Amino acid sequence: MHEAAIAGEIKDILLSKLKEYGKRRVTAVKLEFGELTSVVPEALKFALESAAEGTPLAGMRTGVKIIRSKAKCGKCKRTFRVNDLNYICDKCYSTDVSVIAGREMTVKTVEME
Amino acid sequence: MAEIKVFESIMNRNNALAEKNKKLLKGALVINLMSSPGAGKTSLLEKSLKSLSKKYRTGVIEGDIATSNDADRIKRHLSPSSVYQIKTENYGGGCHLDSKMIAKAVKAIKADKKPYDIIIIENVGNLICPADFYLGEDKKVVMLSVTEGDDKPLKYPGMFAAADLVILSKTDLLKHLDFSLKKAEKYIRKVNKKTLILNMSVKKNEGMKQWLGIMGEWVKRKRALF
Repeated sequence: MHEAAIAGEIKDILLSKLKEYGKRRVTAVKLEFGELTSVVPEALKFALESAAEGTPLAGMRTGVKIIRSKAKCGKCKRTFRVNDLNYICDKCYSTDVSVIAGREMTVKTVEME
Repeated sequence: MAEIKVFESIMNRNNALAEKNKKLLKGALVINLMSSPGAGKTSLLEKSLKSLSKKYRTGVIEGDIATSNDADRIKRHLSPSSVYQIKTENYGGGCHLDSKMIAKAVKAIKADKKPYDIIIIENVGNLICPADFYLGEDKKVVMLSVTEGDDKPLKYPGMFAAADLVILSKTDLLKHLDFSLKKAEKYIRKVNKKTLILNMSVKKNEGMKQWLGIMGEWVKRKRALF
């Protein structure tokens, strides 16, 4: 369900790119998601396929890359991966932690013809 | 065939339109109220509106997949011209509200023309997708009813991590259930260190005074910015 909602937004972006570049159809797209977005690549590809049906996106290849999360401790300045949703520094146990990577949802590149 | 670099954030368009909506609403406090279906969002609104509408110019935007049942309930407590029902089935049956729908609702309740103090958006009942779609709100309020299980904050971390206030609702039913308020609080804190947490029973009037107090404080802070 989450993936279907995101697929709808991706579809809008791709259709507007076709218009912008005066092309007929999208043949490939590369996407990046941070691991904290909980996006499941297979579910997203399936949702995109359904959203693409009957549009100039039908049949495009979809690449999904998942980016590791990174958080920074405000106290000891260490950076670490957020594990099991634990927003606590694994070195000094401070809760003064800010997420610097892992929430991305990006269309990286598009191929059109 | 050339590959074109796009580097566009997937939520950019939605977020940009949300900011535009926010500008139209000027000094009004905008609340995005979210929960799973049946947690008691509409009941909370019905009860709150009696007091809120006496003190503040209040508008309500309702979101559901189908029916205008919720807007009909709200219209008993608020001028019908300040209430708008979004039916997401008209937008492909979406499981969440997005900025395009809010832009239309803002016009429908004339929030771009007449001043409001509070606009409450009751999102579609769902703990997943609404968390991804920023609507231009100032505050996100998430309700979790005690009939749902105390580990929901861990199962739907995105929703609870973004909350400014989590309301644990239907506490009058606690005596019949295994739900632990302590555990729920611990799990909420695990994903969100900063949120306010409020226990509430709309039926028994528990937590209502605090909820209205929080809203009053938020309205004051928003006004101070204008």
